[in-house]
Amino acid sequence: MQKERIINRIPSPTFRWLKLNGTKIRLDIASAGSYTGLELPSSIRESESIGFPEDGAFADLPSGLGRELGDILSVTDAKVPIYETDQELEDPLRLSFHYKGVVSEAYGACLSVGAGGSLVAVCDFTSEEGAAGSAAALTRYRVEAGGSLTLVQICRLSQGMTLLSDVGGVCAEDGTFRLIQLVFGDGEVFLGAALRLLGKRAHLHTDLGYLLSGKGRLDINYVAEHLGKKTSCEINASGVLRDTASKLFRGTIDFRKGCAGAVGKENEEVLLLDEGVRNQTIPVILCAEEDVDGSHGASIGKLPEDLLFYLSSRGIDPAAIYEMMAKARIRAITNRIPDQKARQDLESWLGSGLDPDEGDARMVQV
Amino acid sequence: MDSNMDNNMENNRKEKTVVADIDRSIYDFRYSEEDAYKVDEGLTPQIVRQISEEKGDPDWMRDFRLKSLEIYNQTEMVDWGPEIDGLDMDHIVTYVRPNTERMKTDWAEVPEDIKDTFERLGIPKAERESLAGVGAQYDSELVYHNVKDEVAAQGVIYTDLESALHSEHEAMIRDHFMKLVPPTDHKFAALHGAVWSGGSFVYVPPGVSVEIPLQSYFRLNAAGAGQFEHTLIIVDEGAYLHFIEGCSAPKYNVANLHAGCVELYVGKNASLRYSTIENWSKNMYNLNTKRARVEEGGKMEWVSGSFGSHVSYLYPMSVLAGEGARCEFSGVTFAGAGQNLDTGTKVLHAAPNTSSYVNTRSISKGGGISTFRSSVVITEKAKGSKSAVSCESLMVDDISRSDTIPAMDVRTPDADVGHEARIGRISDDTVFYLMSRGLSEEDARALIVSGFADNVGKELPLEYAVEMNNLIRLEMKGSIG
Repeated sequence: MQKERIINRIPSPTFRWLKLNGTKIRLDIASAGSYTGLELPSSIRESESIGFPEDGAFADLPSGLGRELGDILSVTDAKVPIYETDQELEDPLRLSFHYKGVVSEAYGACLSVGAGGSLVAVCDFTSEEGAAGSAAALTRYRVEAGGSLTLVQICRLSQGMTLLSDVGGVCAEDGTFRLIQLVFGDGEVFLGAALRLLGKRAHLHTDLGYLLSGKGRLDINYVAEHLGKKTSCEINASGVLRDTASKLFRGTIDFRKGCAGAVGKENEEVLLLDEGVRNQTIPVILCAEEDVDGSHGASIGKLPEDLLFYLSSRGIDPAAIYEMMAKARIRAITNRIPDQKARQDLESWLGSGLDPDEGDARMVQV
Repeated sequence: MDSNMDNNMENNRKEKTVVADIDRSIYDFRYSEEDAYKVDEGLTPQIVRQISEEKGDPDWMRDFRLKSLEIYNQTEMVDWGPEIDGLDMDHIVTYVRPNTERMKTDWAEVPEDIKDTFERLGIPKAERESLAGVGAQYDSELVYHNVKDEVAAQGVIYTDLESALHSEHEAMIRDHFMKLVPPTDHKFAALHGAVWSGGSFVYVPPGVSVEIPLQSYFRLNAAGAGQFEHTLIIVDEGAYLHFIEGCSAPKYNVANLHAGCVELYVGKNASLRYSTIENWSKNMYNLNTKRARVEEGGKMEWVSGSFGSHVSYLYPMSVLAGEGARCEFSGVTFAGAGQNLDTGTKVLHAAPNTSSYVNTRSISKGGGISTFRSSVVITEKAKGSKSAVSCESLMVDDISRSDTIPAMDVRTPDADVGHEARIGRISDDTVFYLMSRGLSEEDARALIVSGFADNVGKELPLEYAVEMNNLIRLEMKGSIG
């Protein structure tokens, strides 16, 4: 049965008429979903829970889409795998989801990186032409002291498919969480991410890239909560809208009282290519602490005139300049995927070659 | 004379200077309420009819008031922004007529207590020295209005709105009154439509440039009262005007309400600058609505300083309706102890090649909360439009709060929208540098904050910039320790 929900609620609402405070959707999720492909690093530990655990390390973690969405897993009796490591794993955890036919499913997973450990998890969401319906993928994570977790999500969905991805978790002292999300195509995608920086010097880095076409729709709600001292975050979003695609980006940096020395940066660049596109952006800074440094910047619309002039003077026509710059923006994000196989697959799908070593080299610099 | 004595004298001199510069008593004095007439507390159709009768409204205006009251009763409170639970409309007096029979055009005829109020606020002196005309509102009524002969000779109309409503200008008022801000806009716009009283009407004919500013000053003296003045300004094709709005009130222990409305019409290739230094007392709920419509090639400039009130919701809006229309907004908000000031601006780009520039500063101190809130909407029609928004916030201590909530909605690819924001604290290095040059820490911090707010100060006439800096120094007093 379809149930109406408001998801991606912004922590600090604004003028109602803008319709940015949250998104109302009708959602029909009937069954527990499962991956279509799984590659596990050899020494990772795996256990299981029905729905998200109600107590212990994964209880009461934040949610970007909205905590009430977690009840989908309980309603569908979904078995939620819990992947844990306290080692530095070289091989990534790879999960793939390929949707076809009528889709109505939810999947949940928990990721835990112990003190000093590191893990890269890559989730690839694709759909066949003609697939229709809704899928939800809910992820909870914990990064303990000095640990590092990188979560990569790649969404390539066709029209008729709706995907909801929710990421929520915490980082302890000196822990790092890196989130890379890439969205392509003309499906509907809702991304929520609530990222709590709990321990001293905990760090968050997000890179969002998108190339939307047709009637594609992307609705995002990122919340970075700074609780620990000297915590830091950097939120980057960069994308391209074609045809009649639309995108709504909500990005909140929340400096809580006591997070002295915290630094938060947010940056967004949106390239609009066709009549009929729509871009909405609301970059928020909430601040209850004096000793912080917060900033955000956004650039939306056409390419800068000086860049157009320069490239035109080199004999490139404007349409080709826009194509080139659109591709460059996406490549800047795909280059940051630390999993070579995922990066190669994506580049191959995007239809252009890329030196596979280039990505690793850039990761070192980031 | 020994050195201790020298130091004491120096300290006394310095302290005296500081006190003289920032004497808050210029705003906080009050007179006993000897009102000629006021309605009961609360809001009923009967009270609205009473106000309408008292003013001798034409029938259409009476009906408009009653319809607005219906809309008010049907409209929900906002579910975002600061709490306004302390505002109980059942205990607000919506109309208070002071003890003067009718508006005067000669200061000598204004009743002594009211005249003294405005003398202490410096209004007559400003009129003599630097203004082309002055309107002074006391509680719900204009008590004085005057415009210099040479400005009137240019065809400029500057009068109170009610006189205009009862004159040959009635049709013009009817065509424009609450058309930009309809009562359906939000709950307090509906309230305004029901109980509005006082305010100014300005018309600047085509091609006329009013070289020196006009000013209206709004003073609320009565405890537990509301002030609902309506300002309507029409600057016709190719004309120019600078209009200054000032407001203050003494502090009471009960809530006061200000729900004014400002509607500005900027004609083709016309230009209007609207400057405000708002210093309401800290028991005031300031729920004011300001909006401008700018036609082809026109320019709207907002200069806004928000220092007073307990709670403010204030977002002057520019509707860029004609091709090539422009707007600029320069604002500073200072939220001190007990204040929750939610301020910013809204811009709607509804025509091609329009442009907007927003530059704001927010300062939070002593537990105050300041929020910058904005929206920039670029419609499908607004091809070739540009917008740049810059907002900076300063946290002076660790018990205050500062939020930044800007929104952008772009519906055409042929646009260029930029936004930047920064939040931070006063640099210790800068304070140290200034102290090494002989300033006390308190003076150093006040100087830094004044400099931080310079985006507005430099846009104001000198006298008002001085007033603004004095307000900042007053707020920064005692900021150490």
